[in-house]
Amino acid sequence: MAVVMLDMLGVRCPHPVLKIAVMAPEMTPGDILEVLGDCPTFEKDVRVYCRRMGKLCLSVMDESENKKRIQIQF
Amino acid sequence: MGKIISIDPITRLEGHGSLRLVYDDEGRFQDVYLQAPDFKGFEKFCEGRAVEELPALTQKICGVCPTAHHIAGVKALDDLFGVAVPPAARAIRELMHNAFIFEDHLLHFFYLGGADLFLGPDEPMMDRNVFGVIKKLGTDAGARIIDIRKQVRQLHATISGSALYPVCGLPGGVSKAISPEEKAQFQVITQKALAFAEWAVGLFHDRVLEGRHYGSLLARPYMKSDTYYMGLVDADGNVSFYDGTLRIIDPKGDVYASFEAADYLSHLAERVVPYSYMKQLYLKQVGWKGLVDGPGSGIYRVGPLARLNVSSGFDTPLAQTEYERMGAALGGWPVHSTFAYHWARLVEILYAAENMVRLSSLEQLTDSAVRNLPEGMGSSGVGVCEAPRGTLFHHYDADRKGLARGVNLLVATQNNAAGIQLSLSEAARAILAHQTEIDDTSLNVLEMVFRAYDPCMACATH
Repeated sequence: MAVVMLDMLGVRCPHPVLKIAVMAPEMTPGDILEVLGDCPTFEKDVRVYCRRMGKLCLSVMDESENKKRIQIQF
Repeated sequence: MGKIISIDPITRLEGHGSLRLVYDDEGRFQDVYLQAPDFKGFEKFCEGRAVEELPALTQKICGVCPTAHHIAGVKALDDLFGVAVPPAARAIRELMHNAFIFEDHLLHFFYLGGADLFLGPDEPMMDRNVFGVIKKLGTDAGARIIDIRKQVRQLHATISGSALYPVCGLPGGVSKAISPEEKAQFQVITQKALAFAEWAVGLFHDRVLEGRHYGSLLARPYMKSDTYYMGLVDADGNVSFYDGTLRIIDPKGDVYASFEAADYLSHLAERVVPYSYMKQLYLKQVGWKGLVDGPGSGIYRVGPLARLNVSSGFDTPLAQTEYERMGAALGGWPVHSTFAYHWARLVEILYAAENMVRLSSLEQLTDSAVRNLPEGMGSSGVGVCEAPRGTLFHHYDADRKGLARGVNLLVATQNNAAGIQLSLSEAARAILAHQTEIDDTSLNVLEMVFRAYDPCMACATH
């Protein structure tokens, strides 16, 4: 099981979710993608992505200056 | 050493272009060259960028046709990310695209080509512009033209998120749904657009077809080029701006090829010319045989006249009626006179208006499901649409990180580049071969030849 980091700070919707989609084929079941973002709709977009794609949104952590760190398990 | 007469810049077209007329030592006319003097390099500097940025980046090629680039770009991303578009998003994209074509065709019909249609080649130079057109048609007509373009542009801006460069298209759909209030506004505007289009058709019949210039120019031998034609058609063979199958017909009107956008490289090839940054496209399997027409030459044309030539008409009643009227008046399809592009453009204005009325009434237009999320990504995507000036392809190749490895854009005016050069050469030989002094009217007719195509040199060099 690997943990892969994706820095999406400063990147606006819909690019964070598109980047997650780009990385999805590289992930194997059980891998965790940890995404850092600060777009206002970042958390909502990732939650929608997880629900529609059947992925597990493991955690959402608030960090300083509107940053959020979200872990997705594939 | 002979001399070169340069017309630089040529006017009332999109982008920058020039004409070079070449004479020999004895002062005899030799040839004419249409030049695109700019080089931009979009295909190269887009390499390495995230593919999802490309519909927003590539549309900056042009300040006139960004919507067409945005549509072709997001369709390439749909293909690349392997994601289908929800019905509401498809309707929203198509409504925006039709609004763009309506407004862009009006720009050419009245502002750029209007002086060629409503005034004629021997009017004083200072009147051959949109002010001369308004003087001829009256200020009420001028105000009406300006107002409808403004309203349709506002509709476009509401959907696209920007008055000029759309930001709404995403792989799998669009970023924003249409509210019931916006839909109600759209229905008012599109009805006005349809009423305007019907008025414009009447104006064309009364002022242009009944006038002394148009018929004469239409029938001149140098206006006729027996080429192949290409355009998108829907499942019933009707004109389609947004999507469909690519159809090529031969000069007699028989279907030569029918293919999907992804197969474009099997049918089309590009050639570089030494005098212009605009590459010329030709039919790969027929081959490049020089600036000649006929079934043995790979030169083909696109745009309004080509779309009418390759299709069996329109799926809307008023455009279909005008299509049949035009075909009957010009001896049946296919029509080969370059000057008929203007009439074909007017038929498409009518179609775009009718299509906007239909799309703005669809129940699904206000559906909130406007986007499907991509699940993964492939390595290549091709998008195609009909831009006002003709067929437009965007082809993106991506690496495993989603960065562009290759970008190939086949732009509408490139498809027409060889046809425009052919028309110009034939017209210049016919007009200038027996003249020792070039008069203003002759030069104006030369400009009218290329202007009928509504070329966009800005896009063509990308």
